[in-house]
Amino acid sequence: MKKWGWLATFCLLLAIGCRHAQLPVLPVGGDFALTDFNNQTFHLASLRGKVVLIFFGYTSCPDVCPTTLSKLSSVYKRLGDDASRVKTLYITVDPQRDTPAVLKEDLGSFHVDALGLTGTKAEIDRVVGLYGASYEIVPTPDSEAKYTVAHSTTLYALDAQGRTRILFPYEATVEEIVRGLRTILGSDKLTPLEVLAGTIEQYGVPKDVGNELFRAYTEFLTILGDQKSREDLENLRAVNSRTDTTFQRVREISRAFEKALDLLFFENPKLAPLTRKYGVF
Amino acid sequence: MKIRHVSVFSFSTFVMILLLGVTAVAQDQGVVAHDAWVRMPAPSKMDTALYLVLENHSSQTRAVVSASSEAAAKLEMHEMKNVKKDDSMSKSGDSMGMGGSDSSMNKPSQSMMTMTPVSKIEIPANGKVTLAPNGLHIMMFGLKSRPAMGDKINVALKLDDGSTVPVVATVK
Repeated sequence: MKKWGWLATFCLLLAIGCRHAQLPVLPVGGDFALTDFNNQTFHLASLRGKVVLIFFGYTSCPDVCPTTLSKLSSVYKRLGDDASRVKTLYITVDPQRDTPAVLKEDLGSFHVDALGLTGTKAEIDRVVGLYGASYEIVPTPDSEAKYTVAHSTTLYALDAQGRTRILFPYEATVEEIVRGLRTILGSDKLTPLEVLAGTIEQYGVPKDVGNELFRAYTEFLTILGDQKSREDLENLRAVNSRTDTTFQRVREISRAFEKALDLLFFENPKLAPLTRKYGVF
Repeated sequence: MKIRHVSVFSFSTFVMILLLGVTAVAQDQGVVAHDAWVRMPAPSKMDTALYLVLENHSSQTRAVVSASSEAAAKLEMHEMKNVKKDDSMSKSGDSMGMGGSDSSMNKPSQSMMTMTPVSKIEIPANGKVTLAPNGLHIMMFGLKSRPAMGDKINVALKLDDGSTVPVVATVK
């Protein structure tokens, strides 16, 4: 695998291990203004300093929306002291039926710090467009429901500066959402190596894989820390690389590191599914 | 003669009881429902969803064609489906005025979940079908009173062969 690919996978490891600075800023989202369930004008910018979860739904939704809200109830419980740093925004795609009063009443039955938002069709469509979401009013004249609303189910997670950092699919588990939020919250103050060590322990990675990763990393730093070795590498010409012992040593270290990362990300039964799901290569 | 009448009466009664028993056994061999539950409706709503497992112990495929309950005005069968928004609709800016679309050509339309009415729910021969969140469910519209957690709600499912499957669902 190419070097840049390994850099991306290493960043994924750090993301899984929750280092705020490693999460990319995603090209969706942005500030908006809607009406909240207290009938006040709401500006997303007013939530700077809080991590924000956004999803689109409607209160007559019998299945998807209650499921998401129940999941978020569990997320909030798991966040413990950090729960107060996370605000959920429930944006209705059915403003005709979801008045502020209805939103307030129905959201109150879930243990989620959620603010219901509504607005004119144009205002809601603008936000839907900003976040790349979708919805469609589907008439059902033969049903008591009269119409239903098809809608996208992504849960958007924004950092404290209002930038979109994670898109959770509908299938995301409570555990995955909690870990993603902790990433953004920056609750983990660990160094990358501590994150790596913690991940190895948590995911039951075989000790020889962890040992190989740290051995390669330590030897590489040792070489870089030696002035003579550094100078040898700086002055090395390509034609001499095959016979240069320092270069060959660095090459062996690089291969050992790559092989250990391969075992970590792609063959560990617990990490491999996360790599396939969230990995960016 | 009296004894003979009593004997005939007893025999007829015996045959009737036997037939009833056989019928009951035949019904036991048909469709049964279990693990039925109803989602507590949202505070502002008197509509909700019913979920359950239906097992068909007969050798013929059966189908639920309608549902009813004294606890609600109307019951309908629905399923949740994943649909893709029509790209041409999103690019034209939604001329029907009925939906919202992403305004950027660079953002692909996301798939959407939608609730669609279905006219029947088939239960395969010697098989089962599970009505569960994100799939099939029975909508209960117009609940006559707000239930409490743990309440039992009676529902009757009518099958394509004219028989009825009783369901007792727990509010959760």
